[in-house]
Amino acid sequence: MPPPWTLDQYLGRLAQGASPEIAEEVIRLGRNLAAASSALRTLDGLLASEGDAYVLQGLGFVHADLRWLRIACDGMSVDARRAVCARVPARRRRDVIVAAMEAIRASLDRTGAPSGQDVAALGHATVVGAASILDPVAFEGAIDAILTPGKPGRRCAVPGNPPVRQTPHIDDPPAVWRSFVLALFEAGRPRPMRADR
Amino acid sequence: MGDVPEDRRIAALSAREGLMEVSRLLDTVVPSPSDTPMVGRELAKTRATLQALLRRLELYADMGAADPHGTPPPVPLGTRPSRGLG
Repeated sequence: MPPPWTLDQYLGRLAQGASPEIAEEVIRLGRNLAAASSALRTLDGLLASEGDAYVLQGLGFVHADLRWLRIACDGMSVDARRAVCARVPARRRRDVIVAAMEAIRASLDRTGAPSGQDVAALGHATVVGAASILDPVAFEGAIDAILTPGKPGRRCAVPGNPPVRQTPHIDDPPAVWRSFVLALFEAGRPRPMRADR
Repeated sequence: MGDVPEDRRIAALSAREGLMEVSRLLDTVVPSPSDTPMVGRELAKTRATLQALLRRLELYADMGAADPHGTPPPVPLGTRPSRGLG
């Protein structure tokens, strides 16, 4: 069984197979985000190595502006991901949605807790929300895959696990969708056997 | 070399080099009319702040005598903290 495709792989495929206009747009968005991130890393290095207070103060102003620029570029990346969801072939959409959900869980695992500043996770959450409207069947299939891993076709979560609350509305912010995805994983997580029974 | 502290002059030289790299990276950011206005706005603002700092670092690094008291760099417009008139 081939490994599930990641969203970034889909972005790459989209750029390869799409019309020149779309390909250039995807490449441009990726390049903008990479440049802003790289500039921010360079500033981080300067801030860590400089010792003069006046120079540090000036670097701090540039750093603050760069952070906003990266947030803006991230926002465009979210839009690109949403567009990807609309262009994925129907037979692959379920995999894309599951990949987005897995990415949300992975990003939170790295930080240890949900963070309002985790822009990447919010971008994936946007895809999940868009998918719920674009292809409800694939969306339900992805939920099944999370709730009952390895048991396709089962529609109930693991017995005894917390219930998953109602699917958010498409207009709900990405943070709400992210919480929804986390609740799905929690509901589908296998419980350890109890020793006192 | 004027009254600009030598440590500051060295720091300015070092920071200027890194900021030139940042400037080159910013040159590769290409906003488009299809982007949200925030992208172009933040890009212009970042460039302005960067250029203001580079000009100040030039003074520290190369023209120390022209800045005899080592005055702090001016706060870029838009990021200046509000202060009372008193």
